Amino acid sequence: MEFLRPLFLLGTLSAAIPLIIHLSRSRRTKKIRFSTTRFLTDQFLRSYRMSRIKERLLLLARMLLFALFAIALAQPFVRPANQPLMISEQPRTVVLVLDNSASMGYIEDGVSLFDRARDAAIEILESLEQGDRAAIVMAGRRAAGPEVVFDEPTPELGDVRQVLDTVQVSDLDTDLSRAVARAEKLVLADSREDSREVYVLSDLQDSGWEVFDESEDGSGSLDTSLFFVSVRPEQPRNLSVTAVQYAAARPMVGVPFTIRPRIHNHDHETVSSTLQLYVDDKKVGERQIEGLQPGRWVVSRFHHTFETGGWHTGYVQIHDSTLAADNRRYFAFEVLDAVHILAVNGAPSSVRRLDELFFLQAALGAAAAGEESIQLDIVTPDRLANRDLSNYPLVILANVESMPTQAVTELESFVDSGGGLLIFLGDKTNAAFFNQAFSGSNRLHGGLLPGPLIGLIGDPDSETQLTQIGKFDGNHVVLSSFDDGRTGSFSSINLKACWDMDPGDASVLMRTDSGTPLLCEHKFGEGTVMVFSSTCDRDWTNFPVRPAYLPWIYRLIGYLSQDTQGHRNFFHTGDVVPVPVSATSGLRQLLVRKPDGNIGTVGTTDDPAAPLAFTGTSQAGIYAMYPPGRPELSEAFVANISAYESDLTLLDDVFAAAPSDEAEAESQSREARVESAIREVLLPGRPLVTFVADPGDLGAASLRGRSGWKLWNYVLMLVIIVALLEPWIANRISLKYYGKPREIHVPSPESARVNQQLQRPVSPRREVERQEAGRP
Amino acid sequence: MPTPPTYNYLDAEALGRLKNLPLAARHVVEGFFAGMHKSPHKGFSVEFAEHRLYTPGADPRHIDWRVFGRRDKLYVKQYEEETSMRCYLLLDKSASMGYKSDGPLTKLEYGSFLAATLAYLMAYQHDAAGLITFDDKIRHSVPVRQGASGLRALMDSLENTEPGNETNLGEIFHQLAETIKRRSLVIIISDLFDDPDAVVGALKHFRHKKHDVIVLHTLDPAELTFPFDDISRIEDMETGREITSDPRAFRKGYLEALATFLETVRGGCLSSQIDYAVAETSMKFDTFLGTYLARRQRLTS
Repeated sequence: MEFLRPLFLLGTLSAAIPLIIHLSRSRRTKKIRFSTTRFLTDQFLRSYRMSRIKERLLLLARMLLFALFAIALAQPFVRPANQPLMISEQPRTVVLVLDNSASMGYIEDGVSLFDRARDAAIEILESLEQGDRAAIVMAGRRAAGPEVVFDEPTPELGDVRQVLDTVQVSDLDTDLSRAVARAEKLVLADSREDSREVYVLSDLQDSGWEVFDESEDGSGSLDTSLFFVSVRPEQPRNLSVTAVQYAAARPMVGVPFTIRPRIHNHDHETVSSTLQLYVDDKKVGERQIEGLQPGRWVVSRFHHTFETGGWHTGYVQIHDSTLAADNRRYFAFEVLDAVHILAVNGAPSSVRRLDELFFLQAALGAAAAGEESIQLDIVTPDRLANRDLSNYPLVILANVESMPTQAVTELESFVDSGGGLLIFLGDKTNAAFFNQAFSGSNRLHGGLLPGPLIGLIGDPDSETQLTQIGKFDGNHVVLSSFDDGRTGSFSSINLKACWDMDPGDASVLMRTDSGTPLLCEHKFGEGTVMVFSSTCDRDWTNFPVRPAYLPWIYRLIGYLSQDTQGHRNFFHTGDVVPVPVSATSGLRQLLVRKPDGNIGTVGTTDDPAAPLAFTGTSQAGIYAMYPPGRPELSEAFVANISAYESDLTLLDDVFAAAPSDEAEAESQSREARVESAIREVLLPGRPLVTFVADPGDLGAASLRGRSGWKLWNYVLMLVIIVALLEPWIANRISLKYYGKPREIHVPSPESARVNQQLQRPVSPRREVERQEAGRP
Repeated sequence: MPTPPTYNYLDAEALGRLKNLPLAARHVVEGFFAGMHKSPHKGFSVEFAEHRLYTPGADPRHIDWRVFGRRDKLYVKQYEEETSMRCYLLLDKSASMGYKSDGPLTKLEYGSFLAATLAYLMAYQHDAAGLITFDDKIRHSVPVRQGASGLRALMDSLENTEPGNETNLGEIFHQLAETIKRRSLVIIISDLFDDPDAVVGALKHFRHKKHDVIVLHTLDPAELTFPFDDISRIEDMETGREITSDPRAFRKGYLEALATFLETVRGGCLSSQIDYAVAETSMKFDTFLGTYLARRQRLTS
C-alpha cells in the first residue's frame, strides 16, 4: 500500500489522544473511605468488569476513528502489478501535454518527433469513450505560459482530434514543467470523480524542465496519474548555430563588419559542414566547418561591408538534416550612413587645436575612409534653443557652462523621445547650473544627469597626473572590444582632473582607478544620456591623443546615435518584445509583420515596466515593426530559437545514466530508474507517475498506470461506520451504568426526597389495616 | 431533673424545643414507678380496667358490691396502673457509623446526639433509660436507671464512644432481645448495614418479646446519593475491601441495591409494627426528632 500524502500519516499519532485522556483519568484515582461496599455486589462488579471491556472497546473505537481519519487524509492506494482487471470503471479526464518546441522538429527516418507524439496522442484519444473528457496543453515556452487549447476538458473528443490534426511544431523553447502544472490544474477543473490522467508527449529534453515555484500555477492533485511518454530519437545528433557575435552594436556604411557565428556539434561523431552567411536574402559568404568533434563548438568569422545605410537583415545558416530549426540564426541591423550629430561647443577657440571639439572632430573625421559617415553640426550653448533637434539622433555637450532654460527643456523632450545625449564636462562646467537645470525632482524623469555634480577632483593646472582609468564594464557593447585589447587599451590614459558626481541608479561604465565614476549611462524616457566626467580634449587628460580614443568615441557615438529599438532587436522565440514609451508622445500604434508574412499588432500589457509590447514571437525569423500605413518606417528585430533547443540531452538518458545507488541501478530496469527519478526529482510527492519509453507501449502502460485501488474512500466509509458505532457503544454503556436506575422503590435516590419518603413515621396499625383492606 | 447539660451531645436549645414533646410508649411497658405510661400490672390506679371473680386472699376492699347485688357473685374491681417507662437506647458504634461526607457529623455523632437527647427527654418525663453500644459485640452497657445519676452515666458513656469494628446486627439484636426481660421501649440507632433479612428477623425478635421498638435508621446523604464522579479506590470502612472503579458506572446499581435494602428493612418493620424512620445526618437532629416525636405523639393519641 502506498500513500499519496504520506505526511498526513503523522496524524495517526492523534489516536493517542483518547488513550491519553483515558490514562490521565485513570491516573487521577482518588481514595474514598466509604461506609460500606455491600451494595457493590460481586455480580455487579463482574458486570462492571464487562463494562470496562466495553469501555476499552469504546476507547479502541475512538482511537481507530482518529487513526483511520488520518490514514484517509494520507490517501492510501494499492497498485498491484499485472492486474488490469482492477481498472476503475470511472469516466476518464485526460489532458494531453504535447511538446511543440523546436526540438520536436527533429526528423528521424523521415518522420518528425512531433508527428510521432501526435500519433501517440491520437492513440490515447481514440482509447477514450463517450463521457470521457480531454484537453490539450502545448508545451512551447511563451511569456504568457504554455498554450492551453481548451479552457477545460471537453467531452467533444472530435474537436480535440481536429486540433491534434492541425497543430504543428513551433520554434519555441520547451517549458515542460509549467505545461505539466497547467495540465494538472486543468485536469482538476472538472469536479467529477473521474480517473484523472495527464499524458506528457515529449522528447523530454533535459533543458526543457525548469524547477519553478509551483504556487505560480497552483499544485495539482496527487491522485492524478502522470504518464511521461518519451518520443525521442534513437541516437540524437545535431549540428546547430547556437549564437552569433557581432563586432559592433551598429555597423556603419563602408566599415567592415564582423559576424562570428558559433557552431555546436551535438552529434556523437565528428562532422563537417558548410556555413553560409545571407544578407538581405543573398548569400554573401561561405565557410567550411571541418572535423568538428562530438560535443565541441567552433566560432567562425565573416566580414561584411554594408554598402548602404538603413535596415539590413540576414542569417547565418549551417546544413544539418536532422533538426532544421536551429540551422539558422537571424540578425537585423540598422546600418548607419551619414549621421548628423549636433555638438554644443562650450569652449570654442580660434586656435584650432585649442578648440574643445578639435580632437573629437579629428577622431570622427579619421574614422571614415573617404566620406565621413558621421558629421558634426556645431553650435554654441546660447544658440541651442533655436535648433530643431529632431533632425539629430545625438546631441553632444562639450564643456558647456550653462544654457537657456528653454534649451534644457527641449533637450529633455528630445532625449525622452528617443534621442541620445553625450555630455563631456570640463573647466567651464557650472556645477550650480547643472545641479539645478540637469538634476532634481522638479525636472522630467529627475533630470538629464544621473545625479548632482559633487565637486572637482584634481588640479587642471598641475603638471602631475591625478589618476588613470580603472575598472570598466567589458560587457557593455561600447566597451566590449577594449576588454580583450583588440581595439586598444585604456592603460596609458592619464587624468589630471575630473568631476565627482553622484551616479544615482545609472550604470557606471568606466571608473578612475580611485573609483570615481568616469562614464555613466542614464536611461531617460526612450533615450539615453551618457556623461563623461572629464574633457573631450587634452585640457584634463591625454585620452584624445591615445589610440583607444578613436574606437572609443566612434563606438560611443555610434551606440548613442542608433535608435533605441536598434540595440534591442535580438529576441528569443516566445519572448515579449517591449516597445519604449515616450512620456510626452504617449503610446504608439504599431504593426508587426511576422516571418510568415502575417501581420500582428503591438498591444498593451499589465507590466508597468513595458506597458507596450509585442507578444507574437512564436516563429523564428525577422520581424518588421512599423506605424500603420508607413511600412517604409519599419524597424526590424529578430527572434531566434533558444540555444537550449539544440542541446538534445534527454532526461531519460540523464536519469538512466546517473542512478542514485549502484545496487539499485542493477536491480531496476532503465524505465523503472527513469520513472523513479521523475517521481523523486521532477515531481516530488506525485506517486502516480509512469514512464513510457516507447510510445508503442502506451496503451498497455496506460492500462497498467490506471490500475489499482484508491482506498481512501473505503477508509472514509470505515471512519463513518466507526463514528456511528462509537456513540452506540457509548450509549450502551451509558444507559446501562449511568442511566436512570430501574425499579427503584424509593422514588428518587436524592437525599431530601428519600428522607421525605422514608422518614414518614409509620403507624403499624394503620398500615396493617390498609394491607388487610387491600388498599395501596 | 438532670443537671444542666455540660456534655457534647446535649444541646440546650434543642432540649428546650423538644422537652414539651413526650416520648410516649405506643405499647404497654413495665416500669418501676407510677408514671405516664400504661403498665401491664393491674394495681391501684384510678383508671378502671375490668372485673374478675373474687378468690379467697384477694383484697376485700376491691369487691364491687354493686355487681354482687345484681349477679349474686363476688367480683373484684381491677384498675390499670400507670407506670414509668424503661427505655433501652441501642447505639451502633460499628466502623461504618464513623462515616461522614460533607456534613459536620459522623453518623455515630449524629446517633449520639439522638441518644443523648432522647435520654434527656426520658429523664425529664421520669422515665428510666439505659444505653447499649455495640459493633460486632456489645461493647458497653449503661443499666436502665431513672434520674440524674442514670443520665450522667449514659452521657459519660456516649462521650467515650468511638467507632469500632464490623457490624453483626442480627446476632447482637437476638442476644439483646433475650437479655432484656421486662417489656421496654427499645430505640435502635444504627445504619443497619448488615444482612437485611437477619436484621429484620432480629427486630421481630424484640417484638416477639413484647418490646416497643423504634428504629432510627441513621444514614449519611452520600450513602443515599452516591455522588462520587472521579475514578476512585473505594475502601469499605468496616471490611477494608477495596474496589477501584468509576463511581458513575456504579451509581445506578448502588442506588438500586440501596433502595432494595431500604425497602426490605422498612417492609420488615412495618409488618412487625416497628416504628421506622430514616435519620439523614444532613438534617439537624433536633428538627428530625421534633418532627418525629410530634408525629409519634399524634399516632399514639
